[in-house]
Amino acid sequence: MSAAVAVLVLAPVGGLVFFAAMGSGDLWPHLFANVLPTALRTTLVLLLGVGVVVAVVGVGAAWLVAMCRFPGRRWLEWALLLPLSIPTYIGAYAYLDVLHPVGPVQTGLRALFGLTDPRALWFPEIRSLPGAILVLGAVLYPYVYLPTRALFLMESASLFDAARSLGAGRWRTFLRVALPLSRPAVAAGVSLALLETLNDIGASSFLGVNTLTVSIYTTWTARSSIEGAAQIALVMLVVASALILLERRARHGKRFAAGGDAPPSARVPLSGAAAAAAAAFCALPVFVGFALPASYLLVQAWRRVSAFGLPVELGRWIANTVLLASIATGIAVAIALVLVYAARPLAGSGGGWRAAVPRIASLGYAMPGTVLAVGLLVPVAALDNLVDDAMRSLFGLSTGLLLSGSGAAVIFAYVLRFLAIPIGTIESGFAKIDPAIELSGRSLGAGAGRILLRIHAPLLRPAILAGALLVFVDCMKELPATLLLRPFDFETLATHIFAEAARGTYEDGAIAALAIVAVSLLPVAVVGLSGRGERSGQAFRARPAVAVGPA
Amino acid sequence: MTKRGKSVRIEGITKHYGSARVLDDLSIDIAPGEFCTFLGASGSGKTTLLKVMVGFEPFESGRVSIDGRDMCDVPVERRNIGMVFQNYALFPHMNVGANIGFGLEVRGMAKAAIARRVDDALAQVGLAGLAERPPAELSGGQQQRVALARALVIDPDILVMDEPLGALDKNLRHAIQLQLKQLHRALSLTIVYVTHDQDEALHLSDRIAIMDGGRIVQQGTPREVYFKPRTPFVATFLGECNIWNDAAGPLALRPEHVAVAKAEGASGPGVAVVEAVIFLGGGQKIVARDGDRQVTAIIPFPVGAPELQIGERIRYSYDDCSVHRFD
Ligand SMILES: Nc1ncnc2c1ncn2[C@@H]1O[C@H](COP(=O)(O)OP(=O)(O)OP(=O)(O)O)[C@@H](O)[C@H]1O
Ligand SMILES: [Mg+2]
Repeated sequence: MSAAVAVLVLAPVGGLVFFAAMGSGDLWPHLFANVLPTALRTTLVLLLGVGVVVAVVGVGAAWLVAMCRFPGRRWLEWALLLPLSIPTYIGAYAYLDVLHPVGPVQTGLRALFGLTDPRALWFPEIRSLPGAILVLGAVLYPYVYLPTRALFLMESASLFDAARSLGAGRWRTFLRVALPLSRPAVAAGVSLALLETLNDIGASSFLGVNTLTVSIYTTWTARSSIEGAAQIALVMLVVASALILLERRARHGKRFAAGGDAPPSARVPLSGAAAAAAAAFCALPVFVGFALPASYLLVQAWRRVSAFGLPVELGRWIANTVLLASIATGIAVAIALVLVYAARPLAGSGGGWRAAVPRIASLGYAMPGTVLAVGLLVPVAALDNLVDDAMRSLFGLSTGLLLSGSGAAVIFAYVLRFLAIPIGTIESGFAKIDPAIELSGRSLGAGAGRILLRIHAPLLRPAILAGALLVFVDCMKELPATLLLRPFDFETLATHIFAEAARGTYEDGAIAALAIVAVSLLPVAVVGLSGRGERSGQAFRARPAVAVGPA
Repeated sequence: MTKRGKSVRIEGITKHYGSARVLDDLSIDIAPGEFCTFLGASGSGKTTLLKVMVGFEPFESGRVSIDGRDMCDVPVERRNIGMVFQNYALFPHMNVGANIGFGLEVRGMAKAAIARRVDDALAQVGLAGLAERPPAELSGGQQQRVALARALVIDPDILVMDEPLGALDKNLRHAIQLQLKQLHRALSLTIVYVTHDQDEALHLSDRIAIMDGGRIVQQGTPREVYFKPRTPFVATFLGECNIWNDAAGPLALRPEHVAVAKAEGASGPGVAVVEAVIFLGGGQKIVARDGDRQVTAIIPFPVGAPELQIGERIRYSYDDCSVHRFD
């Protein structure tokens, strides 16, 4: 089982290489001369920009909220997580309309200045690289904020006390102690945000930014060249691997554990201008990353519903989405449970290679959805043809495209891409179970099966549920792989939004977008509520740790 | 370094965490150059008191003054208090030298001067030559001494230590206790120390303050609190103690002041039956019962004489002047 999963995870890479090598070569010169260099440069600039934004916002907000006292701090500490519920493509979707020349912001500004001509007011163009950097940064910074805040609160509190007792003021403590200490957490968070950026197809294409992902999509759909798409996808895989190597390097040997879990001291009170600046610094990302797009969606959805009622197909989109997501969740959680259970230290003989399987199985998280989709097409098509041929020669009937026609390919992609999440939560759940419990169970005569059922399963339930929730939500939001692998004429909430945006009919997508945001709020609420105590973010913290592999 | 440490005055501090009262109208005066130890059970508020003194925690009422000056508006970083943390809190991303030099760097000292001071400080705590090491590569005892050097090198007005030796083994603890005592004398530092190891408190302190439930229940020299406990709580908290009742009320008697003799077949007052004999190395502890009175005695180990057996009868006695009455 473990070996089979490892092979399956690596299958898409094989598929990519196969397709890329099969390329006839006539498209390659064109790609190499016209598409790749600009797409690569655009992607790198986008990554750099988003990296800087999420690092500055994430670390800054984490420090203020963890160490300082200012009006609204308690509320903001939690609210800063909210943008996690806005998928990148929904953020871009909202801003495109909000900041449109005839959208509410520009119209409002013109009214304010008494202008009538839409071109009389200069306004920065949202459909641009800087626009994309801002929108992506505003919804992705929580990946940095969450682990960094946890680090400041739990592991380093007494170090900050020490620095202050030695005479260091707020700024010096931040620059000389907090910043270097937070490097591993920041590196992990930034790399996750950048993987999301690389994965993003909606925001970049809505905002007219031609990234590698967008080129894969257009090469596949517009030029119908799967070989060309595979070649670009290989380049993207290189970028993703480079990201992960960079992250490893930034973290290398730097897992500082200050030890001791003394409660952190009282926060430093800020006064006057400093307090106002801190509150503004923390409120701005909440506003840009959540409040504004969410309220826009609410207004649009309400308008649409009051004018035309709910779209007739809404039920089907939801059913499709939920069906795919729940099957994928069930499979992913089951596989994760088995893999992690087989890899635990007490599993005994031959444990060496099994321990590595969860790591390999987690690699899918680093594979952007388009890359995964292109890579999966070979094995899936091969299997479909194999089955079809066999059925035809045996029974004389054609099964058609069994996997790609049924949505099984989408589920397969979801499982590969998100397997890292339940592996992460279940692993951290296991880590909290004292191995002596299992030993004592064995000494009382219980076999392996009984131990899994009677001891581990109940103890792991919170971890399993957390993992399932996170996978489910991520599957629901997934766009690129769904877009490329879904059966013909099959719409989920996400693909529907994409289609509406492509058509320019924004109001119609608002209801679907709102549905996705509402469901995505669930895990955020769970993290937020568990964050009432100081040890928040367990579920989310499991993700960075896994997505980027062991320390 | 001939300057003297400064005085600390704590007046009527009350502090709550949520609705729990952690410090309860607590006051104490610590003289310049004094070694004052707070001793108390876990959760009695010792760490909280230190944090209030150093300025990490706000409080509802009361006042902290250092050298006669109210500290209410002085933030931690300007109080010049050296602090040694229970987990040492060494900066893991800086080497030993940078850790020790951090406080000097903050004070704007020149690099060369910092290097010199760091070397001196390392030599002072017996770690010369380790400046380049990362803290993670030091043993617990070495880390402890780096933390001490880091707090001392800023020439603090007060040195505050929160269970600094808690994580060390007994031999190391004793060695560092000696070093601390010498440093205290040599630098005439004011030291505020927290421990829940009563022996440590007795060895080191000029004064011991016993805390319970956020209050100081007794303070005085080690001898005073050991031999003249004001309450049974203090008596039993500081070492073992027989607490008995007689006609004049409760009395306290240290086990080492109880004498024991074999008394086969005897009975009546002053005779007890041995329930346990515990070998202490330097002597032995006898636990015996006389009616509802439990008698604990610590006596020399008999050389050549037969050992006491469980169930054996003994006659115990004590000098009236070693009996302590609570007032
Ligand atoms: N940050 C905090 N928030 C809430 N309660 C706290 C906090 N810090 C301490 N307490 C509570 O205050 C009380 C006193 O704690 P304190 O740490 O001062 O005890 P202590 O005497 O130092 O104990 P120990 O010997 O275990 O270190 C305890 O009941 C503790 O639970
Ligand atoms: Mg304490």
